Amino acid sequence: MKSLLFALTAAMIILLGGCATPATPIERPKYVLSDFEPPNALNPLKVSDPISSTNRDLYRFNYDFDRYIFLPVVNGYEWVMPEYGQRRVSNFFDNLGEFGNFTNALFQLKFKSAGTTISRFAINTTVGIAGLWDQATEWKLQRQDEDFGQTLGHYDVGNGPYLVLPVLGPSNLRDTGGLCADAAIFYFVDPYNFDHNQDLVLPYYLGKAIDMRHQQSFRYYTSGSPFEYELVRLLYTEKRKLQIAK
Amino acid sequence: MTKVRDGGIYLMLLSVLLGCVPAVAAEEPFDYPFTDPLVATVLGTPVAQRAPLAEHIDVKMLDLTIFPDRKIPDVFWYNSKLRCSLAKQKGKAPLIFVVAGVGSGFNSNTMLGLQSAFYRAGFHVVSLSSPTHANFITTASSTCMPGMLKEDAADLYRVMRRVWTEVRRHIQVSDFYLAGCSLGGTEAAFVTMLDDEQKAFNFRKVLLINPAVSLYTSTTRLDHLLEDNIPGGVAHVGEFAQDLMDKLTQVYKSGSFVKFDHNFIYNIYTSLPEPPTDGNLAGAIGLAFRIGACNTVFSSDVMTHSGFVVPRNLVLHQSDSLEPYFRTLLHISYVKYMEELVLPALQVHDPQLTRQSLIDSQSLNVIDGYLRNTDKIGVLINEDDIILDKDEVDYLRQVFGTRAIVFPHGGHLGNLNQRQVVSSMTNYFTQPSTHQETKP
Repeated sequence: MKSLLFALTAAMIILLGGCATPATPIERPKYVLSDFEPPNALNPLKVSDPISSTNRDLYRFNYDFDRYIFLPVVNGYEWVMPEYGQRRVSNFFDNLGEFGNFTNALFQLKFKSAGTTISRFAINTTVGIAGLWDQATEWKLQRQDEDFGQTLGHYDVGNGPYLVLPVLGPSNLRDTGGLCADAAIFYFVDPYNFDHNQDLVLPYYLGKAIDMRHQQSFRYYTSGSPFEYELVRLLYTEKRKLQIAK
Repeated sequence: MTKVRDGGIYLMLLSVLLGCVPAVAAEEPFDYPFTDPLVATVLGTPVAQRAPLAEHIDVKMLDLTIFPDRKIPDVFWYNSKLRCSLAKQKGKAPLIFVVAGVGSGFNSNTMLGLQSAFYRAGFHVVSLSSPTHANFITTASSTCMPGMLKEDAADLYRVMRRVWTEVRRHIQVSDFYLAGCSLGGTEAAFVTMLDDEQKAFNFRKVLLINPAVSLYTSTTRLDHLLEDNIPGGVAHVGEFAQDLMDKLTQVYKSGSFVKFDHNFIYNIYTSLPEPPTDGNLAGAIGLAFRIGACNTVFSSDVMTHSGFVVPRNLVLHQSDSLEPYFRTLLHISYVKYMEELVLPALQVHDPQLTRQSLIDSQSLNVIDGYLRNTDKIGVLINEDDIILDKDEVDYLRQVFGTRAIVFPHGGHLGNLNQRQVVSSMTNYFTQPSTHQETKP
């Protein structure tokens, strides 16, 4: 009985002691950032990313989505469809996407771009047979990529916080708003009359999604860098800067 | 050092040109266009001078466990297995192992070019990441502290044996060969020496492609490309990177091209109002090397709990931000990593080891006698390689004698896809040795 009491007392002391001990402090490594640069130093790796932890989880989610759903579907499509057919399909969806290029060129008062885009659409829809061939590029009318995110950027709207969107990948608050605006404009203007062809809506979005992933060669976690998230964030931000400047 | 020009600049145009480029006889004058080694290192080989690619390559990806008991930290969850590839021929064929350069993966553009070249020449090709690559450090490095030639060679050799047990059921092999580029070339010499003892493969021939002679002098040179070319010094590395990217924006804005594709950098280069200064080019190469070093040092620090930039007792998780470590490491040279992380760790076991003896041991000089006497190792070098000086080029010429293939220019790995360079490389393996010196 005595020994039991002793054991219990000892256990209490250890437990209480355990509670009282503060968590081991994190040791200072040999080098930290402040050894080299002041807090206000200019560094392109500094991108506003207040929900970094959630973004990183979504980054991994996108990898898993790619691995188990998106890429198997895309690989199946690439296996079934000969490359010649794949190019026709990409051209087809690119041609339908000219609508967004056109509206956003107008929003930015880039009338030359808007003219080029509408000529491209006319040529590719007729000579290029419903957009399956990109004859306009052959005739030196280059595609003018525009979207509402770029339109906002054109009028000096800043990036806002960096966001990783589920499935869609790297973005930021401005560009996510832009995506929604483009989708809303497409829905309300309904340039291809989906309103009267409801059964085309699902095949359109599915086909567009598969073609989009097919055209994008990026694969998560294949850069070989432990800093891939940071590098992708930087490259996305710089790429958008370039697109807006154009 | 291959990371430097793995931007994939020409891939698209290349695919268009597939099979349209005629093979060139070896006597033709060397037509690689860039005589500035910095430009060559950045831009690689223009399409018109490129060797044709293999039309269809049957590639099998390999995911291998090298150390079954090793626990992979959560922050490297995606690196649980060593990744490499096998390009397999249909029937019986020789097999070549190819080792990537500092910081580079088995699937970098340089490595894909070599895979294609050797595959076209009839080899099964096994492509291996550099022991300094994050995936290799995490899964296959015995010390998790790469940069030591003998140890890295032993790690590579272990991986090669593991690959062979994995693939031997699927392919028929006549003989074994080995090639390594850049640091991988230097390592390949040590691997060959190991193989002479252990005879797992008994390599018939080995080629060191643009190797470093001394790791210390070559990495110092690359460290300096960055440090000497940043206005205000390395503390301003962030501003320098921003400035390079802003220059791209300016050119992009004024140029007539609009597409983001594999020609983007080349298009930028050709539409510059005036050629970039050597300082900018050198700084860009140095920056690419430094980013590679960040990957290596971070992986090593986390795996060994050295407390170099990551606190020793901090467990990093997948959703933790790594930005502070990345930015810190951008200020730290590769040489500093060797001196302040690797050297103290080695001194624990060998208190006699000094900085100078470490530097001296990481060089082809230490196996000089072996290299002079073996007839199975050759070297392919560019006289203007930015990681070598004239003495080192002369040294390689002298040591390898008739087994040295020397091109007048190409910078570091810049001419590897050029037709004549590709045929010299493949001929070295497929034909009896003859001395080759290409005149400009």
